[in-house]
Amino acid sequence: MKISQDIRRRIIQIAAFGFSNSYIGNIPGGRLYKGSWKNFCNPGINCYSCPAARLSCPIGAMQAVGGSAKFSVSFYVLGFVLALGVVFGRAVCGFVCPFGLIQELLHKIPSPKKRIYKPLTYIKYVVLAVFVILMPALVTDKFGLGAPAFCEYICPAGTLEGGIPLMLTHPELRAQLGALFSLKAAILAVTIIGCILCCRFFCKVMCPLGAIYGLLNKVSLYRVHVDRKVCVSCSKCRDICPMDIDPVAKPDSAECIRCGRCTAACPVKAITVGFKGKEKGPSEI
Amino acid sequence: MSDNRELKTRIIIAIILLVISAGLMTAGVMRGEVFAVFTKAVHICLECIGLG
Ligand code: SF4
Ligand code: SF4
Ligand code: SF4
Repeated sequence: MKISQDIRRRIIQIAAFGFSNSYIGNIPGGRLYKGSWKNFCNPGINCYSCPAARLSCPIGAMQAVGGSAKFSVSFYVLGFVLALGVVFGRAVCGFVCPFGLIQELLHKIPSPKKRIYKPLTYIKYVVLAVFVILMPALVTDKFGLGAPAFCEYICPAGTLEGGIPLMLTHPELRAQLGALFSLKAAILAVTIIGCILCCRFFCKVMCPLGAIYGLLNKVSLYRVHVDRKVCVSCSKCRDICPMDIDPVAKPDSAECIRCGRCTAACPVKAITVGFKGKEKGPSEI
Repeated sequence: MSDNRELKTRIIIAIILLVISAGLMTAGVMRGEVFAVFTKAVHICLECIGLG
């Protein structure tokens, strides 16, 4: 039996989600997993304050190290993200990011569907530069400690995966709810509505990790290849693309999550996704 | 650029960047960043959950 590219990707996404969040037994008690897996980062966004989380969040870890008194930038996390991005590019987003899967499932809720307004996609680079890199390193207290600004003011994954389960299980935390939580809850609400209307709204607009992987799409070994001699310019690939891009015009677009839907939609098999220049199309898999 | 040349260029850039990333990770491990990551990840992060 042939498994379609879409189903194969969904199986990988679910497996990655399960591996990243295998300590679900911790949720009722609101305890965090404290074992040695937390020395390592998740390839995608998955809050380390979620009781079920096995790994560290790379964006949280980047800010934690950058904001510590001893260091201002995390070589460990940057090296890890760079290595993954160079090999896979934004395929990490398409296949293994837990928050990417959550967003795709939200998009399945019936509603009118919208494409993203392109200029909004540049916001994530500002978020990366200002909230993840500059603020934790430069806005410090008298002990030289910088707060993880992206986690503190923006991240809806932290509110959803860490905030909600911990608030439900810890009355002492609930007692401290204030303006900051309201701000983050509002951003989470916007994200959820955004994802219902527009596929992967957070990935497209806000995610600093997606911004890094997206930049590395230009050089990543796992890539989209378009045979322009075969392409009949039917635009079917552009119409089906969940990230609102035209792979023929921009196969290395920073938005492409290498999901492979365009390969399946192309009537003349002009598009391939893989490590080599000419990989197998979906019909041959 | 032909497809083959483009692929070759990509591979060369990838090898260079992979060497850099290995160097960065090694430097990070040697200067004790893993401990900072671990310590942050095993305690409830008030910023993440919206209590900052
Ligand atoms: S709040 Fe967001 S960025 Fe921060 S650690 Fe959690 S998931 Fe990662
Ligand atoms: S853009 Fe961010 S949230 Fe979206 S899939 Fe990539 S890493 Fe995950
Ligand atoms: S261009 Fe193709 S592989 Fe890239 S996101 Fe769009 S449909 Fe997926």
